[in-house]
Amino acid sequence: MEKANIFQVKHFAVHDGPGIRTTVFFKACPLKCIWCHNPEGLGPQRELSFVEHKCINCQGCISACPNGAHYTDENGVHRFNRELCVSCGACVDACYNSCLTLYGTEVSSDELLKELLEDRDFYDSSQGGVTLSGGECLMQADFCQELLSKLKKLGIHTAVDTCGFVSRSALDKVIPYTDLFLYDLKAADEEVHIKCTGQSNKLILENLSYLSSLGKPLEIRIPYVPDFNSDQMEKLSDIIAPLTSVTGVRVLGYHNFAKSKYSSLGIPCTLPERLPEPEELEKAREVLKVAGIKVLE
Amino acid sequence: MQLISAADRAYIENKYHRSDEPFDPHRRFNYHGYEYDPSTGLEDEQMYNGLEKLYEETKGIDHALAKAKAFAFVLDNARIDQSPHDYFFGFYNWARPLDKTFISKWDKEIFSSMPEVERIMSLYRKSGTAELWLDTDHAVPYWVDILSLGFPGLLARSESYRKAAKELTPKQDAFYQAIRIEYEAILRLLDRLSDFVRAHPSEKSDLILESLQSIRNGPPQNSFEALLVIYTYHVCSESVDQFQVRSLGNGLDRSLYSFWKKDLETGLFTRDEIKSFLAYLILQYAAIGNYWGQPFYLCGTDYDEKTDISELTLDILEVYDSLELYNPKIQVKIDYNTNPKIVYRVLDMIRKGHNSFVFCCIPGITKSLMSCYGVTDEEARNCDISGCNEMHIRGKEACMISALPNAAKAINYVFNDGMDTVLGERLGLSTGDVSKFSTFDEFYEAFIKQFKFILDTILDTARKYEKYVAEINPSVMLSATIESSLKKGVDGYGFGVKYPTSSMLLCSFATAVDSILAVKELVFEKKLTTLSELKKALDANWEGYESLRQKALNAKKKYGNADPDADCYAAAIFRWFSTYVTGQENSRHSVYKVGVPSTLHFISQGKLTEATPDGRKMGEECSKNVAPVIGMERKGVTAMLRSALSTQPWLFSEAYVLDVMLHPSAVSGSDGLEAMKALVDTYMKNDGISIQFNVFSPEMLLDAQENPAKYKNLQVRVSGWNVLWNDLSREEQDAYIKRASSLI
Repeated sequence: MEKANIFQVKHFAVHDGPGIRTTVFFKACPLKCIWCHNPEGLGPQRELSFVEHKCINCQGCISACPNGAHYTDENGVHRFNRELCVSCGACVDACYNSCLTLYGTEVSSDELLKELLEDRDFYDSSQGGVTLSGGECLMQADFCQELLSKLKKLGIHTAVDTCGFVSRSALDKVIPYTDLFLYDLKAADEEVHIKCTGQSNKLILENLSYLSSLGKPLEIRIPYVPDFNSDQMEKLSDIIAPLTSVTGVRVLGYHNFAKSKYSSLGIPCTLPERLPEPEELEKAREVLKVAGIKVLE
Repeated sequence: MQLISAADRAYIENKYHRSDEPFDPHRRFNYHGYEYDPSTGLEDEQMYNGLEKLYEETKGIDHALAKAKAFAFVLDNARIDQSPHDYFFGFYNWARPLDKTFISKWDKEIFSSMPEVERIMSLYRKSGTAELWLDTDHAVPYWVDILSLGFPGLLARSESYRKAAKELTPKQDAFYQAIRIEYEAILRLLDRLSDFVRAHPSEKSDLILESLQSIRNGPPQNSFEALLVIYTYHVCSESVDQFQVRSLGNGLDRSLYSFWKKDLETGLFTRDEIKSFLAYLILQYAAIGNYWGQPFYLCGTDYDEKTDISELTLDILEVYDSLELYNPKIQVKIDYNTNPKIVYRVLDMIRKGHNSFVFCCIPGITKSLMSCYGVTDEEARNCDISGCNEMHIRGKEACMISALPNAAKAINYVFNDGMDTVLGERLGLSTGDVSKFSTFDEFYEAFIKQFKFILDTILDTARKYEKYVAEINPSVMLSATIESSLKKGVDGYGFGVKYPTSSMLLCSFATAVDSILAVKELVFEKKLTTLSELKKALDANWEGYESLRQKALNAKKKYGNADPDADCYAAAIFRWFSTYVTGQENSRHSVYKVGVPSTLHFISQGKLTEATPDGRKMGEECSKNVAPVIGMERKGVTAMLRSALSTQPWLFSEAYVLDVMLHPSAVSGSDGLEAMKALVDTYMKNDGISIQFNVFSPEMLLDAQENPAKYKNLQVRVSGWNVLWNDLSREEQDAYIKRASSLI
């Protein structure tokens, strides 16, 4: 039995596919998008997040930590030395103000299924279901296959949110058990894609046409990041327009709400400064509409 | 089509108080709108002097009869008006003139003869332990008969019952006489109004005059006349007979439907014309501005499920939406077969910030009412929604909400051996020194004992006064609409209905549950503190114990997160309360039932509730309704719903309401609307009863707090009450912001 490495289970997710859904966020991603709003999902390793301003100096973590990563300074104030931290998570339970969170939990498909089924009534009422996201969930394709097949057996709608930068074999594992793919497209030009994500988009575009050729329902998601991929809309619409199984395209305006996540994880923030103006987003959507593509709000 | 002209709207908005002056809804009887023609009636002082004189003259006679004479005096002498800007008349003395002159005197007379009752009511109120009161505020008349018989028909029916009775006791005689006097006075008022309209012709006066004369002589014949009857009944009952009319129609749509249908078929009125009349009517209640919000309900399914009234329901919603009001407030009774267009329309209005709605789910209602006090399926299904979200059998139930007990006080009493530290008196039971309890079970048992003692004291006290309700405020107008009351010749609200029930509404439920869970976790499971240390921390209002307080606030087990252990205690306390109180006899030959709306007492009682083990400080608000403590629902709305539903809502046959606050981003677009609908559907499927939404982002509320002028119409739904954001105190606003901040 595979175990998954996940970092969050979000209930009442209403924009990750149809109806009320629960979204499972898998750890690790092959891309390094500069605008990533889930930096806790980037690496495969377990990571401790420390939100310093919430600390009430209760010092429960200091006695819990076996490695001295939590300590007090000369003024008796709690400090955290990330270099000594092995992400064992002992401090998380001891923290009474939820300033410490461990991202990266190992979970079996049955354990996860139990939690996912808690909201079964809500899925049934809304034609909702479960979405696997990340990070990149298909980096753990065997587990996804196992979980998705169990969900399908129970008649639950399934969606996979993927960046597409995955092997064909990984994709093949989940195709039979996935009702909807939420497929991210970041740029049409390879060099722009490399600049924004660190990787070529060749494989992504191949996988996209493969899924479309199989007739798998696809909801395309385009993050709109001014000055990075904002000039790509026309070329992207050229790619999308011929795809017959696309149910719609969602243009997601870049936001920088994740800024504090970077600092709490102790990693350098790569987030761009400029946010899109509403008119820019409208214009981007208009480009798609003109190409005859259904734009989802 | 414009439903109402700007000039007409401006007139109505100034009818009851000047809209350009500051208005405090809690002191609304101190206001008057524009001046009326003095020749049409007495000025205030003359009115009050006349009533005082009448009080002296009627001393010693039956109170119903005395009240009826006073009622007639007001109706005969009140200044009246019919503006060319309005379809509904003006009545100058709408500030309940019988209150000071008659009813509060009778109230004082009767309560002063029961000093022990007065003492307990006062102590419980001052300590925040419970609010006890003589409730006459939750009456809904039987509109079916009002609209089918009209005022003269109601009078004639009462007279025929009087004549049919072989022998009348003096009390019964006074009962029928009182009805005759009041209803004759209503007919004279309609005559006076007709004369006034005749003398002041305007564009609207032909219709008004014809309608006034028609309803003076018989039942209403068309939609406008039906609305005029509803309005007239409301004015006379609320303003003079002093019984709040807690719904306009037994379902405004249902009560109006046959008139509406006929008018459209005959071509008497167009659909838009009826919408326009509705706009004028609805605006009256917005302009009156009662702080509790005038309620009316819509929808519901006929017992026979044959009548589809949804087109009219949608018209009423359209009118209401176009007026952009927050008062009246609307309850929407829904079932599986309710037209989804109605549910979507209401949800869409809610997410646009129109929070004056509560959904009341018929499956849960039916299960609750049938299980808890044995009503029939038809009675349960057709029940009225009265007040905020209380469920009362249509035309057959008068439920007095006798008390609102505060469960968190029972926690305080466990820690203080029954002493109330706010008053420095022992108001609880002596359950021993808490620091000597060696097991959690001892603590829990002490809580149940304290809670039971409070409930027993309430029951014992309320039984002593509730039976006098018909002496303190006889329900003359209402009784004429209740046929069982007429048959017996007894006061309708007091005893004449089939179910003269009483109820208790539980307050601070989640605060008590989380306190018990905190003791279990921190003291007995994790041993992070002792009961002795915790008592010291609570005595010090957590001063010097901040670290312990944070542990309490962030305890792992909190109600509202679908945690099986936490929910087990929540359900246990809830069910214990419900099964202990439900079915206990009241002193009006019926039974008690329970509910869980805490109205605004989660704030007022919170001010008097000492620090609690869940980390709450003295004076902070307690939890409201069946919702978790603010900010403690950490796992989102689905987990919160599952927690609430685990308490078995059907045990709460007076009212059960869950507040759901959603962030605007969660309900945007068609996905968001579907998600809201699914929340309602899931709640309904699992026997949930009432559910209401607030859709706010913390950013918007913070902005509203800093820039009140920008948000004059921002409303929030608080325990069934609609209030304007700007009317909330700073601390109440802070509580809302805190809740909104916990959503993401």
